[in-house]
Amino acid sequence: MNAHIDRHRKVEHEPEMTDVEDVGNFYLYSKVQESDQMKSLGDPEKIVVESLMEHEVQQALDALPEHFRSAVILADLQGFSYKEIAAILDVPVGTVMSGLFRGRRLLQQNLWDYFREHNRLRTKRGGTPLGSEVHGL
Amino acid sequence: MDCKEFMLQIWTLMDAEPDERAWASLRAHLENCPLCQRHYRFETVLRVHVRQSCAEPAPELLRRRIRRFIAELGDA
Repeated sequence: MNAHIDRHRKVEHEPEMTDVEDVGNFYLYSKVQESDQMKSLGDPEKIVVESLMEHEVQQALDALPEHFRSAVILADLQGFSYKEIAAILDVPVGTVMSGLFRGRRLLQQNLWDYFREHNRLRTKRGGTPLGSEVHGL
Repeated sequence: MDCKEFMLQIWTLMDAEPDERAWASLRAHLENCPLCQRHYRFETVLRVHVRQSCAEPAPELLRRRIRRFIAELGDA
């Protein structure tokens, strides 16, 4: 019985994860850090926050599938707990957790796309690509 | 706990939702790992940026659910 409860708990409290080796790829932070152009620019949070415009963040959120988007809005914008979100959406807490995990991962992927696009345009326009001053390119 | 395990649960920690045992080991790892502290700070700043950037109305399905939820509370 206890083993069953433990197993149940484990399932509820760990986000669905298939490949632990790839965990870094899920995070915008890792991508910014690993990017040659960005990594010597200083605080990654400063770079990202300064370059991602409000409407882009909004679009990145709007682009999420609705069931993920609802979970992300309730948690990240409204600050509801997993249990509260589960009650509002009428789904199990485990579903809220996996939805949040996938939704946030997708959101960060979308944000990364905007971020890269900025940098590409900046380079194309003949301006200095981010980081070139530092690298002396 | 190593950095990969920490990373897997970084959002759960930010949400203040890990169970008691996980909470202790996550906090212990965070206190001792400058790399994960930087990542944690990044996630925190990013979440605030997302919150401040988005003043959107909830999706229709979500609004319907919240209305139904409130109605159910009224009935109880």
